[in-house]
Amino acid sequence: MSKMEVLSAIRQALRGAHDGYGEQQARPYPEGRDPRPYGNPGVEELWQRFLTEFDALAAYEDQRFGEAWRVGSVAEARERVASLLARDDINNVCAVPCNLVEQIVTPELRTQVKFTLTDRPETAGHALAGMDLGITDCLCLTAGTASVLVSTAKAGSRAASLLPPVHLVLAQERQLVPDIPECLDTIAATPDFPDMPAAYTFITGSSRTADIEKVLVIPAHGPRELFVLLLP
Amino acid sequence: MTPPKTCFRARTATSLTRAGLKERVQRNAWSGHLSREEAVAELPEYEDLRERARAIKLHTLDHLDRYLEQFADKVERNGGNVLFASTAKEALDYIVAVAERHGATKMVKAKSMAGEELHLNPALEAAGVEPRETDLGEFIVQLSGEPPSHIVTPVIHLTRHEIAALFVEHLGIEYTDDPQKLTAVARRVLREEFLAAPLGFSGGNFLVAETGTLVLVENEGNIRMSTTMPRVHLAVVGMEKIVPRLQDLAVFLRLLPRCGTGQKMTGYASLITGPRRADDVDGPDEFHVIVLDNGRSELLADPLKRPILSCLRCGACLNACPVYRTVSGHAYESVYPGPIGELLGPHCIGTDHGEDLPFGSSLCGACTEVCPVKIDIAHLLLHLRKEAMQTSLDLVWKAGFGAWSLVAQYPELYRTAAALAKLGLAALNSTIGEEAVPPPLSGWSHSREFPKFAKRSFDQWWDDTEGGTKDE
Repeated sequence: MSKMEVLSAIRQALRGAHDGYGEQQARPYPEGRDPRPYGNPGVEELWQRFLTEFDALAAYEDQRFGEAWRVGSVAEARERVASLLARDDINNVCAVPCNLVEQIVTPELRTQVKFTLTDRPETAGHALAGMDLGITDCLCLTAGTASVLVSTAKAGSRAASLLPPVHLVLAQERQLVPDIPECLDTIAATPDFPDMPAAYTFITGSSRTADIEKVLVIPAHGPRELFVLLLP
Repeated sequence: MTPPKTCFRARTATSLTRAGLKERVQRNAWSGHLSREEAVAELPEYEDLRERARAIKLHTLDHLDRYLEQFADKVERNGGNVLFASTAKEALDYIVAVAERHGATKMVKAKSMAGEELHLNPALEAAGVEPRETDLGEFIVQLSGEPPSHIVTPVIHLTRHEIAALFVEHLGIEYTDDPQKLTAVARRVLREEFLAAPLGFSGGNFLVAETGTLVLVENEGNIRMSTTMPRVHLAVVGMEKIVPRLQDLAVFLRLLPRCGTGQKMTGYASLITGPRRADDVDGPDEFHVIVLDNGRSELLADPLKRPILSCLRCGACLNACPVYRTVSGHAYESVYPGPIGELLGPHCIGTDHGEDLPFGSSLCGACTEVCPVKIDIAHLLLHLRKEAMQTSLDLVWKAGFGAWSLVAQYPELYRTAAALAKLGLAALNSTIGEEAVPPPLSGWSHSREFPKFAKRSFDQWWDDTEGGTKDE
């Protein structure tokens, strides 16, 4: 079996190298934790940092590739969503089943467009190819990089944040964390860990490329616009 | 001596004479270098992260068998498959077998240097599977029939006009050299392929032993597409890409985007753990990870070279290297160009004729300085040069000095040998010309004039002038 072959080649390599190097001297895992000099500021400061980073990614030349909104109430959140649904280029809308979608995207809002809930395989994956907007929740948002962490846990569709040209993320203040390391802490604190769902994805800004002469182009293959709606 | 085709210096001549190439690569790679500088300068913990990244990697390599087993167990328990491949061929056979089992005729491919190392595309074509590169840069080099020239930005060597011409020729579009429009064309063409292809292929930036997770970092979304839409996801990953714990990504996800592309975070970073679960609504049904040795255990066996395996493939050393920026990637004729390629080449990783790559460096140390995991590239290059000389020239060196010491002991023999050498050189000069001294002396005379033999030897002069006491 090739597994045994490779592993025994590795063991032999490690043993051989340990002459004058010592099995017991194999280097230990580094002590302590990764450095995090940015502290743990309050929601206001985290949001300001998030917004700064988000805008730096969303504004390019004279174009705009999404917005991050912070609202004070569910009613206000519904207004923001309604404004997106009213756009001419948004007719087919999909959303992952979750509490925030239930709460914000009311039956009334859903009638404004052709609405699909990605709650079963028939209404997810390839079925989302013609969607104009995908609505998801997230596990956390990072202030330092303006990233959102989405997952497939609890029937979250992977295609909903990927195929539609516009992606709207619904989130709550308590989900704001300083940076990437805290997102990983959040994953590690889930009850099933180290079992993980099939996919987590950090999403930071719109899909982009700079392969041709280092000129930034948005979008590449994923969404053109990213919207984040932060609720209390 | 090395035949010219496999000689790095000879190959650089081709690169240096291609119109505008040097200027273009110089400009693009330098701008990559500068954005990396800015991005790491913003990070107060940068040096601490480097130190920790290095420590984690070296620890992992010292216990590589244990972590790989843990990873494989975890993937299998999540319903995925792991193949350990000693050689490229084993990996290729497995991929082709999976394709055949699914009756697949197409595969969408995300960018993977390990995939390049396998020469996967020709193998797929031979098996009747059409590979489609989906990273914009890789898509372009696939159209042009060239290999990529940089491990992060594959078409760093092409102008927008050259790219536009390729699109006109292969995709039948109206000529445009607007990167925005060209990208839109690729998006349209590839979107259909993503939705239709039964097989998706990717590399991997990290494997997490603790959770059985494959980590993929990108900007375009083509990796997400290739690993989400097709029914089957196949990944090929060098066995050194493993880290012990999920939280290690807290270090590596802060370093890799900054050092690779000068970004705080890339557009997407996917943590893929097995195929879709029973209650998932989408994602691939099958998940295969191929853990590739292909020469890596040789590096592991040498404590001095082992740190080479901690490389993240960020490409920072390419952009920092004055030689890379001058000669561009193709001169290396290796999947891995630049300083890191020079370390891997002599070990047949990325090329099978990379023995002289360690000599393609000015040893200025810029590569060592920018490496996020603190691989001492410059000193390792020096070490590899020494090794290369010991293995290839040792015999010539010993034989040469052996002959010299013999000849120098016997005056008659010495005189005869000197006379013969003089005759031989004169014969060469008259037949093929001044510079045509035989190897290994040609290494010297290639760029310098070979010193002329005196008309007579010292012995003769001594005799003629009676020890210098008599005028001639």
